[in-house]
Amino acid sequence: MNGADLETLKFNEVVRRVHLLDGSDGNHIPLRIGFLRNITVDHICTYWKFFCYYDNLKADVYMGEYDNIMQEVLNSDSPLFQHEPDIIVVCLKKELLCGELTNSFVSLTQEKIDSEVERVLDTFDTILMAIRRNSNAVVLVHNFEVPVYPAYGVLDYQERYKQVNTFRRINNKLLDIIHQYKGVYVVDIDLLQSVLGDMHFLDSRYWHIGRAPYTVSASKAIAKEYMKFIRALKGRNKKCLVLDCDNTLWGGIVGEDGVENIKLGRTYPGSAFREFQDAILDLYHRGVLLGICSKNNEQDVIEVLEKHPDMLLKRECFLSMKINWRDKVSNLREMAHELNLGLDSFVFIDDSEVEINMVRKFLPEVECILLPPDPSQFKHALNACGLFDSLTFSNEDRNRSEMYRAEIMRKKTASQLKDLSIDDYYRYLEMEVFIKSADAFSIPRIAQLTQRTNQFNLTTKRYSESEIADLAASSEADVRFLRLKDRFGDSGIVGVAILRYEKTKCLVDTFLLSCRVIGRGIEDVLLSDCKSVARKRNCKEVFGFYIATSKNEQVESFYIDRGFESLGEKEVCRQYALSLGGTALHLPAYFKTIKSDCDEIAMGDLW
Amino acid sequence: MENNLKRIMSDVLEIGADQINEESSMETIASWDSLKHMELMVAIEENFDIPMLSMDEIVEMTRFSAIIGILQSKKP
Repeated sequence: MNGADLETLKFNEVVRRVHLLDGSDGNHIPLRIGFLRNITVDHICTYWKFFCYYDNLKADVYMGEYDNIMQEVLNSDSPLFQHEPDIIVVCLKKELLCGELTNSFVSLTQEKIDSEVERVLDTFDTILMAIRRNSNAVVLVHNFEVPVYPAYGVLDYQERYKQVNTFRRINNKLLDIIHQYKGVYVVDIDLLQSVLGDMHFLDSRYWHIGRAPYTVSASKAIAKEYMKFIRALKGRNKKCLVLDCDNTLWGGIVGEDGVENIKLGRTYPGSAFREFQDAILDLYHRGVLLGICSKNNEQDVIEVLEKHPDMLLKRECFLSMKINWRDKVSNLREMAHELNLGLDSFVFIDDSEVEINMVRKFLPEVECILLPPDPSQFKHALNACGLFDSLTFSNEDRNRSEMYRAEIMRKKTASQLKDLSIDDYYRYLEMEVFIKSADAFSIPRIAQLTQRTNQFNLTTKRYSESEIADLAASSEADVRFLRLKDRFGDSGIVGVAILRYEKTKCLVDTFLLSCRVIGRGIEDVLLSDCKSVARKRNCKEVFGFYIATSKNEQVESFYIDRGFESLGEKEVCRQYALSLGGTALHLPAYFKTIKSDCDEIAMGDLW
Repeated sequence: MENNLKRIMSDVLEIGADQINEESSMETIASWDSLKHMELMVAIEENFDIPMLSMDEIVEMTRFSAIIGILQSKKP
């Protein structure tokens, strides 16, 4: 199965593949899903399972009875909670939840409209409150499609309190409700309807026959939208976008046509390419790393980047450029190595089917987007993919490219100063480390690091912002974060440790470092801080955990290397212990500053 | 058309194509319930180039022979 199948397979072929995969015991990671619904959603579910398999997940779905939501959520022993879902979808169709607002709006008084709105919002509130009492599952709540033929015709949308704006109001107020709970997100069904258009979204025939409102295209679009959440939650969102140049970033071939003749500008045909660059630039500002991988003379491309007035993507936007005549597979491999990122963090865009197929064949972990023949569709192809979606946004995202660039400078400097010892090089970096407990400013970034970090991550537990906030506020846990600065710049928050306490035991629930800063002894500083924090709480022992994934092999012996005693393995989790009575960890002496808000280890200036 | 239909039915109803014949219907195929029926109709509309089925036609197409009959009547 490759990316193209997701788009082209017919519904019956999707059903067959899902059936075959359901029966196989492939190496899929289980994902437990619960559906609460008042309509038939089986088509959506089929597509969702299909997309999950593509992302190497096996969806195990519990389908709630029709319109039995309150009973399911209020009873802590209900089949829904017995299923122990990771994700719960709440899908309530307005025709059945608020039939009067939907179908007989004109006959309603203002009081009745208001009370119906309140009732609908209360229903959501009750459902979410009950779910949260019984489960930590991530909850995806469908909002309502705004009616496309409103009750009062053109008059309707002139006024706030007619039908269209009443549904818009419900959708907006739904946001206030979900924000009271942690791990609850809206799936904007109204937006999906706008994307596809009402005629392609709803099918009245199946609605009347079997309460199945959505077309095949709508079911697919809704399932795809769920996957954006799953990927973000599972840390599978992509980090790096690599682009071809000719007929991708601009029209024509720069080596043949010349810089002044490529198609790129404010009017047809160059405006389509400019618009595509605008979309890429937005991703860049969201923290997506950009690269170029193209077969050109390097000087030609540099000239476009530096001189073309309509080139929105400047040279400094690109973290890595592989402009040469070698095959793109080797170039992409090299780029991944340079940036210290897995190839499965990459998206590659090209207009050439040959290049795309070659990358798909030899680097199946790279997600490929083959551009459509018409440049006016490029922007849509990129925006519709949703591969970069994240559920948080922090200052680190805004400056991510800068930070990676500083890292490349560090590596370059390291090779220039190769006569220095490694310790001397680290001393030359003038690293300053600051460790603190999580606060309102750092929580989004901390959550994001738990969601994105794969390599230097001992347990790979993913947390949402509100979960981190709860842990930080809890008296039974501490959330510690580490900020790093050096002579090349401020790397921001790059390390996180989450400590949980059980009497005199300190359990290191999470311990991670951003891949940009691995291998500079920073982990020892963070671990030392953990021990000091634990000691301050009168803990006697620290327990470390290692859960192996396909990505975190490099930290397999982390605790053993640091004097912990192995306690063996419980299920997939290896356990280690260290008595706090022992000698302090030897910290490397090459840090310029180490500061912690935990008094006991205000190690101060080590120089 | 018959073979094409058998293939689609086999995919959606999750049974072998050899278990489907002229006499097949919702009564004779256990997996062909009302949910699967909707899925089958969706798949048929996606695979055969025909004008949109009406609600009544969808409800009538619960036998192999009835499906073929309606498909033929709708062919241009």
